[in-house]
Amino acid sequence: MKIEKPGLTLYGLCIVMALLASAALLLGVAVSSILLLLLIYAALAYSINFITGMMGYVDFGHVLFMAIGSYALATLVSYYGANPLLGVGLGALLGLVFALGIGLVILRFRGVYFAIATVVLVLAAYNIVLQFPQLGAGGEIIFNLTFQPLATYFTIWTIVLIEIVLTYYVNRSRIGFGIRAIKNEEDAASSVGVSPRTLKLTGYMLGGLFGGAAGAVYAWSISGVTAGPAFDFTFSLLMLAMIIIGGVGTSIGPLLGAVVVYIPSYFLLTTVAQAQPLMIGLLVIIMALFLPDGIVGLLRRSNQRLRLVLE
Amino acid sequence: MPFLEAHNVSKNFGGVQALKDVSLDLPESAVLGLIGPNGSGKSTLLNVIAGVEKPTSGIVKLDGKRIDNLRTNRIIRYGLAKTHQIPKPFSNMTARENLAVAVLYGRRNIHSPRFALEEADRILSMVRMGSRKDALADSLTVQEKKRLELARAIATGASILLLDEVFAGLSPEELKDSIQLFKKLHEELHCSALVVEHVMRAVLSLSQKVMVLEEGRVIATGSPDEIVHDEKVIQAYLGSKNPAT
Repeated sequence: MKIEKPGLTLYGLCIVMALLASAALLLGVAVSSILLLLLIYAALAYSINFITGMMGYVDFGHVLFMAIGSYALATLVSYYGANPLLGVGLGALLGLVFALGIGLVILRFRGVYFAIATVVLVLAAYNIVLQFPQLGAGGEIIFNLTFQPLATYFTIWTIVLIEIVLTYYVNRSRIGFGIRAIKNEEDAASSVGVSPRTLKLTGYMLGGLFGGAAGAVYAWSISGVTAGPAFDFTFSLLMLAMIIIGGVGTSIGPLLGAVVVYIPSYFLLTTVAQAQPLMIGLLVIIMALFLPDGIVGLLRRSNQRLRLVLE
Repeated sequence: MPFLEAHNVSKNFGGVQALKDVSLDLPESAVLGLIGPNGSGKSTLLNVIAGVEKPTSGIVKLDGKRIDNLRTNRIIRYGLAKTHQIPKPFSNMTARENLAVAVLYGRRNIHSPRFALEEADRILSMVRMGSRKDALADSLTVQEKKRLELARAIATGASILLLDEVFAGLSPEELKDSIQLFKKLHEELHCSALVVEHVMRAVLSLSQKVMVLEEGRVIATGSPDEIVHDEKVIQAYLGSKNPAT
């Protein structure tokens, strides 16, 4: 495949990533722990962007892959004393494998049927986890690691960077054209030679891979996993909210959305925690009504130059 | 040696027999018109040939190879593409991006999006839509959307086009223009076409041969001239001269 010359969007995103890296190195633990959760949010947003953002298949159960990653890391670290990085690798691998198996079945559904299937899967997975003492049987798996904020931080930083570059090049490549065609009109796509089955599975597996990796880092950052919160529906909704607010399918939207969703939730958590879902819900409704292409769409429409540059 | 051939194709939907023992052949660079009253099975026949539906029985061959067990996106590789009766553009993509998808995934299996976009521009100016290349498909007029369907089928690199009512719903002016354009394209591309059409003027002036379907059966085949004077065809369209029989 011929790699095209990157545009301003990618340079811009790389500068933001460089700033995030230096902020953690220069400003110390307090700042990096705030930014750590922001990066985890961003990683999750990019992972669901491969499925819902690019292909238009609304995934209400993306928290499943996050949970798979969390359990992979927690099990490996707490029972086998493995290096957490191995746990992140295993989380990503299991996310990929589960996405392959699940995707082969549920990508046959379209629209609301697909969405319902993703919700049911999470409920099923949660109940399966409850049956296994090895997975905490609905309780928690906790492990004690020496405090290593920078290691965690730069792991998730690397994951986000890979996601950004991948999203950018997938969108520009042949695969990106095929996936956009599927999102627009799946039957017409196959009538010009696109194989929806293969491409949808590819997108879904990327979503599973990065969802698993992000979930593993999340478990690492909170030193454990608890069954209830790990499968919390709110996470799925937050991920959807982030890409809807930022701009679905784009390379820059998930990061913008992560910032918009994360920052108020960080400050509200200490004051009125209940207001967070309410505010985000309201924001999503407003966006869906007036700005269906999110912040990126708004910027594109506001300025001809931005329209050409923002991807 | 016929290029596209169908032998005794039947298609049932539940208890309804939409096609009964239909056979046809479409030689290289020929245009075969397919007419018939509403519900006579024209679109079903195109869908079966293009792999959208599987035939209940019968065989479809392209260049001697059976294609009736292949899915649409595989059949494209053999050089056969179908347009949709109701245009199905990729609405949120520009006209040139619509065609680029077809170039990338079509018969030639191109990998460079840049090349595909250049090809798309070339084909768009061929169908006289060059000025609309950066317009979102959603914002095109009905005629432009129909033309985009045709252009997208051409962009797959197909040598056989199945055209499902590409001339329907056009004003007399637009129709004249479209017929002229189609003749020009047919000459330039040396492709063959199976044209389903209600607009008689179009089908009669384009096809060398016309096939008439009624209730899923072929009731007549012949030159356009023979067809318009065929008793059975007149009966199918207008009813019997003598209501008693």
